[in-house]
Amino acid sequence: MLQASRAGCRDSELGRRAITIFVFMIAIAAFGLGAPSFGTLANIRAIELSSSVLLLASIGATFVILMGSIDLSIGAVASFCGMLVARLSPDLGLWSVPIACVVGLVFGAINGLVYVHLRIPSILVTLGTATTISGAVLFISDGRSLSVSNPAVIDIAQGALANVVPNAVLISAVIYGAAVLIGDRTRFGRMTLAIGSDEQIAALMGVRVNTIKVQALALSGLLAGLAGVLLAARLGSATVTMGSYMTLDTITAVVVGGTAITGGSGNVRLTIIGVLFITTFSDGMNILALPPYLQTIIQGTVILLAVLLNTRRASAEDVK
Amino acid sequence: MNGVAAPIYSMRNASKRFNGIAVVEDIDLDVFPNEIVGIAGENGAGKSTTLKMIAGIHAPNAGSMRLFGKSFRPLSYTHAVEAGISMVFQEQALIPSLAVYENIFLSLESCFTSRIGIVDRAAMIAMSERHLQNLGLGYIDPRRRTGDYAFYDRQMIEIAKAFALAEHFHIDHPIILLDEPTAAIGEREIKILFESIRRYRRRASFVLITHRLVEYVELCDRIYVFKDGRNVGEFAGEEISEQSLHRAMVGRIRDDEYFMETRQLSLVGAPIAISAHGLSGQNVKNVSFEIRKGEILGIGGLVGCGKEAVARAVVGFEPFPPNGTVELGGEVLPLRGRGKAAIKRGVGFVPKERKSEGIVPYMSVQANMSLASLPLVSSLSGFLSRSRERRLAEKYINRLRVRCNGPTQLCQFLSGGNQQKVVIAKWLARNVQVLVLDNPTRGVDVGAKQEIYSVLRDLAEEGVAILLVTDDLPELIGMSNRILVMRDGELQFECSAPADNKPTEQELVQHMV
Repeated sequence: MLQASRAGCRDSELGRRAITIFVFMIAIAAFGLGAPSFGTLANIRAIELSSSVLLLASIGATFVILMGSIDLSIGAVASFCGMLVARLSPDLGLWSVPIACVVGLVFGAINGLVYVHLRIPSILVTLGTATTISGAVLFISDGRSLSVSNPAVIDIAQGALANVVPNAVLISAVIYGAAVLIGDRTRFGRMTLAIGSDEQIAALMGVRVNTIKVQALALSGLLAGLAGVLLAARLGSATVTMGSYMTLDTITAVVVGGTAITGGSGNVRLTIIGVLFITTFSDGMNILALPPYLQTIIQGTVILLAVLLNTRRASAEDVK
Repeated sequence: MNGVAAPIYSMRNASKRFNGIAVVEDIDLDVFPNEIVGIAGENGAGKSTTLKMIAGIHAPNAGSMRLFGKSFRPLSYTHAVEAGISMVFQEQALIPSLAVYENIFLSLESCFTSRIGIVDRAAMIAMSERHLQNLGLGYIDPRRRTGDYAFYDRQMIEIAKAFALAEHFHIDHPIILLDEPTAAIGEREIKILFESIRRYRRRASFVLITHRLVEYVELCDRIYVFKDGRNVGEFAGEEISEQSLHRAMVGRIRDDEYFMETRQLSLVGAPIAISAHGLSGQNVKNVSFEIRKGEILGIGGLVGCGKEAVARAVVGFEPFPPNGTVELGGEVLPLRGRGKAAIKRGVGFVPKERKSEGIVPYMSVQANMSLASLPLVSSLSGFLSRSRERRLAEKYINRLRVRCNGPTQLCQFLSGGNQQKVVIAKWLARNVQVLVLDNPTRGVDVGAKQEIYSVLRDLAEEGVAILLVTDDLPELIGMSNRILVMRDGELQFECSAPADNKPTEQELVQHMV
């Protein structure tokens, strides 16, 4: 009997997700009833856009967290790359976008190389680079906000394919699809999970653990950069701290999506649940015009509840 | 002493199971005042488990314990300490960054706290000093960082801590449990330790576990011998000798059916699959051997004899002894990146720590099985093909009789034996030519054990060369074509073990100790 109930682990996994999704549905229904404007096309579009940005950054964060590492520089990298696009686009136009993404990739790779070769824990490496990059944002912007005026760049986020699907959504959907494929069906995806479980396992398979670690952090930097670019394009301007909310929101999204903060368990597919959870809640509370202080209190509580529903707490031996 | 005084501690009919597997069964054990008691037995005989039951770390599933004339049912180690039992942990339970006195009174700070909440450090230091001096350890400064002291001194600090705690809880005559106290210290320190223990016995009783029989003989007043989790002998005074302990520890009737010895190949003229020359490094001195195709070469020896390091050197699993060469199909494996090169040339490794080195618990059975051979299950697009992966998993689930609900079940939910089969399947999927196994059946139940043996026989018949490093003597003898015995890092003894002429456990053990 015990064996049978354990055997249904996959189902119970789904069951646990189902509870999260159920809570999510109830929240949507409550928002919809409480504020008629919640269900309008304009609002749904707003949720889609903010979800797209956060999803991109969270995808990168998922692989890093699956490995048992963490990237605290996502917000700073996003701010920097957004600002870089604002700064370069008057001269370079659309070319500023790939340049900003490459810069994000380089930041991520630096994180990875320092982490691996100087053997400093990822949390400290990225805490350090986050501070440095935040300083660099001030440097390239003189501490001011810059507007993004190039129509081609703005179109990346605000334009829409056939006037239905916003470009930002399209971009993040394609990358999400690719990430799911990478997570489930490539060596990189398998090995991030194996490393998070125990590095020795991956090492015994003849895998260069360090290479995978650098790749994961570089990917995180690249996607954080792209998220920053999309954010700047969507807002039509870049501010020095515009991406900083992403650092903690990505971690929350990943964990609500069921990935263990200690690594070794979870996958990128479910990160989208965490992203929608965060963006819908914050949007819904805005529409309901709840006082901002109360919003923060509720958001924190809801996140704790979501984590409670969604993680394998019982199986963790030491909770740190 | 025996018979005169009543035992201060006694255990009756105690049993302990883990996951339904009995580790110790029906154990009786007494400790008298001022006595040094030994628990001897092979690896896996249940010595450590018994010690942990006495210390309150494992609760027995059945049976009873009495301490100082009262029923004793500790719920935790802390309870046992309060009742007068302390353990000197093999893995050392002191926090290196704290001062010695802080470690001695760790968690008892409240007893030294004044009304306004300030800890009276001077009193703690003075008491620590007194205890250290009483034990002849005056050279240890209680104010210094514990980590500054050598392993041996830290061990003595743990003993001092045991006495300090006993006094604190008003216990006149504590029982101190020593779990392999000599495993990590040199001959000189062992001598000092033993002299100290003999002196301290005026104030305490000791229970000792060690891997060296000679130490039991030297130190103990009375010895219990365990075999397969049962109490098989008790020796006191004059009866204690290495020979008598040997005889009781081993001497099990070997079942040749169990190891399928009739399927053992004779290997006249079989080509050499892998050879090692002059492997040397820490704990390993000049070990050379070769394994033929289809041969099972067993390496035995006590824990710490260096046999695991030899296995690691062959597969290139860091850290391994760096000197010497490993040759495979006429090619010498490189020193740097040996692990990768070994895998590429068809060497597989089933490590000892299944949980941390073998399986990924939150991955499915199929994902674990394909982990070493991802290119084989990839489609032309470069992505893993689910259907190929599934077919591969189904093949090995059937072949190794892995009991699971299907290829997608998480490995976490499999029993130890089935997890081990998944680890083996991982290498079979790669078509290994050489398989190195380190204690492949540790923590595996009897049925699954035999299935693993059957797989090893299959592989040998297919021409795979197998290196079996094991602490399990019957397994070593039953499975191997040839046996090497190591002691203190050196090859001590080699014998062939044909199906019709297997060496006895005694023959091998005499070369181990």
